[in-house]
Amino acid sequence: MKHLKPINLKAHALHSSPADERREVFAMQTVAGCASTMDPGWEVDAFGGVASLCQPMEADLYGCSDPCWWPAQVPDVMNTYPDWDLDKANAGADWRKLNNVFPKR
Amino acid sequence: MRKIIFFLAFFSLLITGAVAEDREYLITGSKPGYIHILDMKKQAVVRSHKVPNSGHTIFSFTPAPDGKVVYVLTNRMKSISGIDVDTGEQVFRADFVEGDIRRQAFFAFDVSRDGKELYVYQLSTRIMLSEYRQLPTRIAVYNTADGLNAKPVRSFEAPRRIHMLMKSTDDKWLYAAGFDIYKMNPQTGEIVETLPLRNWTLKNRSLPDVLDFWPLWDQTDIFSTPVYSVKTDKAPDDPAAYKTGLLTLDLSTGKYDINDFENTSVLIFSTVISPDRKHAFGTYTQLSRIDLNSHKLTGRIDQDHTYYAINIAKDGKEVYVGGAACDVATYDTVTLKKTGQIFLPKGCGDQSTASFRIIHRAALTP
Repeated sequence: MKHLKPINLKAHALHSSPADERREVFAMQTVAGCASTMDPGWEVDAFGGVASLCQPMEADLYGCSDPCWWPAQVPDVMNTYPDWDLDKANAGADWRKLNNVFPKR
Repeated sequence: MRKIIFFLAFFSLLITGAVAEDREYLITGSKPGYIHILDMKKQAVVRSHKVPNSGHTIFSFTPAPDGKVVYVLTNRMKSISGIDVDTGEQVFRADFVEGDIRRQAFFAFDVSRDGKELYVYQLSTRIMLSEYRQLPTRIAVYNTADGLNAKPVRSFEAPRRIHMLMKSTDDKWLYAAGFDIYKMNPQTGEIVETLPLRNWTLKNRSLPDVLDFWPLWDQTDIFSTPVYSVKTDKAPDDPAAYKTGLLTLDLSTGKYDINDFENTSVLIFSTVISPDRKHAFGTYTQLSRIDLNSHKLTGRIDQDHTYYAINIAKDGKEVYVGGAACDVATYDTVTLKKTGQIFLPKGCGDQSTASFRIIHRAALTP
């Protein structure tokens, strides 16, 4: 370990923390935030088609993204990007304004 | 003479009290953080209140029994705000995050029937430097009288995956819907009975599929939700293999039933029981009517678009659909014809997964 040098913020924080505050790392046991949820196949309905998906799609956009139901296509609005829909209250009218997001540094 | 005056006063109180409680309002929520109070007989929005620090979101909400305050799950599921229906003033606030513990409530909460306590199902995660540590899921209890910095007065662990909390009408029990429905002691959290859902024992039947976080029992105190399952003794290409049923739980008596009513042909997100308890109505992209005696589908029409939530008038003559987009539609319960549509003010924000409740109370002043 003594030959390892921290090169990013998290490594510096770990390196400078008191030794007695360092704890064992456990494997994550829970889904925490939208981005770690994946529900592939959502784009088809229960019958394998699209007729029973919400009509129109925009009616469903916030209903799915607000509770992290639609994680593959939208940002984690629950915790990481809560302002993704700021000033875009109506998905049908405002969907063009819903932009990509990029990892925070 | 004194007796006559006393009885006159008593009966006038009864009459004015009855009149005072006679008004019915529908409440919905919309982006970016409004609750709206609607007079459905007048087809008008009579109040719109902005919820403070909402994070542009309104999730589930539950009105106080007297209809004067609405408790709103907001701020990206991290807070409950109590809003005075008349004035819009925030009179209660509980923020869940505590130090390095991120705490959120996934829809499930309810108010006691005496209006004094809120029961909130919470998921807690300790945010550490390189690790998220899952903490036990719990139900936290708040006093509604504790104002703008409310903290839990007690809490107890609860099973994972709870999506609905329901107080019994006698206030003795708390029902928690998850994989099964747990009947709990609201003081200790002890589970005294488990009503089987995932652990049902129907022969030749798949596990049930249920999605519900809409509290819609305002007129009957009967929780209802669609249940989807597959008959495993049928061929996969047989339409009769796929069944839609209706789960009902009477919060007054504890009576619990699940009955199939059709081969699955459309999706239904939420259902409501009619005040005469003869029908259920369900919504999604279609409006459906189910006869509760014969357990048969008796009507279905296409709606203009998808709605998530449905509620019904006290006289049973109209159902209201909302959620998803930014309008509330009214349908006649006999003909299933659309009779009204209200677009919400304040920018016509989407209702998303907001609750859709009805309150009875004294008339709001114009």
